[in-house]
Amino acid sequence: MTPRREAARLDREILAFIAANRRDGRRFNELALRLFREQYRENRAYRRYCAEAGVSPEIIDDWRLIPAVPAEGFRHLRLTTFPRERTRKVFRTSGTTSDRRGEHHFKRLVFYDAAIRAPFKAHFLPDRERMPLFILVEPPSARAESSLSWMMGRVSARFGVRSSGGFYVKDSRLLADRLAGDLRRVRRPVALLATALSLLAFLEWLAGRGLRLRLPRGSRLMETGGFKGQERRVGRRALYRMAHRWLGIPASRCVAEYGMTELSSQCYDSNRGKRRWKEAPPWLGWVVRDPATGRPQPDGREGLLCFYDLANRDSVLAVQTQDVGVARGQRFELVGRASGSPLRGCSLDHEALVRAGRIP
Amino acid sequence: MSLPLAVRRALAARERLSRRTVVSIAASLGALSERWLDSSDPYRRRAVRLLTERHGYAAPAAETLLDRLFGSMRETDFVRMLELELGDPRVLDGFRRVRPGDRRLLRAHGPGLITHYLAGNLPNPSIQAVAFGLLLKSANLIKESRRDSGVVGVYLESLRRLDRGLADACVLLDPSDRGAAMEAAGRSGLVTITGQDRTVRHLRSRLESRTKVVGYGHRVSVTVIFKEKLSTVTAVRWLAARTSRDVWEAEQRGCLSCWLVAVERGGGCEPRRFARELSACLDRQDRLDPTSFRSRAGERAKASHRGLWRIRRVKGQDVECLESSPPGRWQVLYEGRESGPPPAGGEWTIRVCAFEGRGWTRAVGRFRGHLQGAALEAPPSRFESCAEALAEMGVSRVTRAGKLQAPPLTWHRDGRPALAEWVRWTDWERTLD
Repeated sequence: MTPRREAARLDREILAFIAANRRDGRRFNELALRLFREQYRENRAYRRYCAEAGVSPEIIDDWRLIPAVPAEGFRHLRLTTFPRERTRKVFRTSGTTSDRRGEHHFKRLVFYDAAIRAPFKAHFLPDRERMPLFILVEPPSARAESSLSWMMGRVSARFGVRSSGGFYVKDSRLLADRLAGDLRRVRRPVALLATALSLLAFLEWLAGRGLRLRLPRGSRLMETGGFKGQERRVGRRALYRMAHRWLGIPASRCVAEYGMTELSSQCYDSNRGKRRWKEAPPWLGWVVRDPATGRPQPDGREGLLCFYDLANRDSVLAVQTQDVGVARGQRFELVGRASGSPLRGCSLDHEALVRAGRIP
Repeated sequence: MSLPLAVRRALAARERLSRRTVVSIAASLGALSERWLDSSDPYRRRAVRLLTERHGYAAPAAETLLDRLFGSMRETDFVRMLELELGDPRVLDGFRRVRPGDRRLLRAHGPGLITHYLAGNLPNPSIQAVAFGLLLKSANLIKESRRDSGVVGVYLESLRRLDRGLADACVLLDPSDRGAAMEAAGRSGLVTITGQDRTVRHLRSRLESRTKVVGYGHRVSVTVIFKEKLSTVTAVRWLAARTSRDVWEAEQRGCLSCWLVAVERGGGCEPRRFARELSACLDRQDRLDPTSFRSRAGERAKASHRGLWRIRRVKGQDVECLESSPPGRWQVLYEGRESGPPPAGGEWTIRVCAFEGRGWTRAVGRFRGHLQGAALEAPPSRFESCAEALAEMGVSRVTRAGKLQAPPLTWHRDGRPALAEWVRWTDWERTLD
């Protein structure tokens, strides 16, 4: 079979696997290895990276052995299987911790869009088809480079209602007044979708005015993004307590989404307890790796999260993150972020130095 | 013991202390240092156990750390420091004419009460801070880091055995009781803070503006080696061994720990060779005590550096990541041309970058504003101009490779006087009319 026909077949099979949304380890392994083979062949930078790691497609038969590119690699390398002129979309990282922003190039968004729908529905809207979505993120028309804005745009089109809700951030400013006014008028359950930072800003805005909203029963909240690179930080439980107090949305109706520019798929909280365990969709494999040896960690032991995303069809499927996680069966808990060696004594505050912009 | 009672007792001890001469205090502290320099001293043994078992130091590093500290805290060192900083140590006992011909008589007073916020598990600045407070005849309230408490307590116990009067003027606060420490700070004439920059900022912001605060934040040190010093393999090995000392001696936990080595091209040995020699030295040293602590976060940082260096190789850059086997113990990150993130450091991670001409200023300049010490290996013809450039960048101490962790007591830490900042002066313009 010619490479082009094999690629077309792989496209169809991956899309079918995503649409089926069913766990099948053997099938995932087969598709991941085929995708790796193609990306190794077509992606020059990745091929050189694999050579550095001493791995080629012929010598592995398990998806966990596919060399994962550090997320940092998206800042420095053009990781695509297609020529530059065929790029249709570029998502860029927020650049919170470094001057240079990471870039994820796409020649098509069909895989990206397909990967959004089922997990969002399953974890956030299992009980209804549509509902008013109030989104505390800039719309994709204003932030073309933001993968989060793109995702929110897709979600809004597929699951929102036209008569109510919308985007409530403009020119990087939260339209808190308008949002609060619109939320006061709602009579049916609504959903708020926000970054942790914009949500905190809105809750503090409400608190500052002593404005308590009681959203209709069944209303819910999805937050994402955390507080990386920000001086202002609030723990997730504290944030949910504030959401309960000022919006009337209980923690049991709050869901954290976990995604990143370098991946095309997202994970969601699978439970609502004190410790929240995230679930990845069937086409997103993951491993918690020992940072020293790179070996998979057993359940319960911290390590770095590494993802294998079939929806990263035209870049690299294997991405090594800086996020620290703990595995428990099919799920993982997000523990934090590896920012550098722990600093004690009077040694240097690494993050402060980076933030100060002294080191690019 | 409640805080008011602790303060009362410390102030009463201070009252008694004020009647002693500063030379007698220096003699007591010096005698205590001599005891600590004896490797069989039971207090020293306890401190070494604490440093290795609780704080994760390698045993050789813990021993060296204490040797370096107490070797610089002998009676003559204290007297010399007081002479340099105050002109005459006896100004702490009464009015003295410090300079011949000066009609003024000078008197220096230490703060009545000092609260020391001691951070981290590097005992040197903590023990020095307490000793300085005693030399000024002040009462000292000591708040150690909750996580890293212990060694100062052992020091004070040993002091009590030798000189009860001095020990009574020091009170260890409960490390977990932040409220008490804050209250103590509010009552103090001086608050010294050693810790992360944000801790210093935070505490400063919470104290009244009239409270005198001396803060010591985060800094790092560097090494610069010029090609003339790399003429032979023997010289390279010798310098690598010296540089490795600057990494392992304080486990890269202090501001005098080396994070970056800039090595000039064009010598008898290339910088890459130096990086490999340095790796070999670190490996040998690590094998002496492979059980010393490395955190999971440190391992993650090393994994991140490894990945980034691999990416840089893919980009065709002249870089190499040299690591322990298995990985996670130490890491030497070599780059043929200084550029780009991350600023490696901490837990035996060191960056070696090659340079030509004035390239070292760019490499070192990245740390501008956060520089502490510099080990400089240069020929006599270039030494002074390089030292000038380092001083211009904010370096507070220029020394030779292998000496970074052994500052004299007189060193201007953070570019400031060691102790002169803590005192209050009275000038008596005595006229004989």
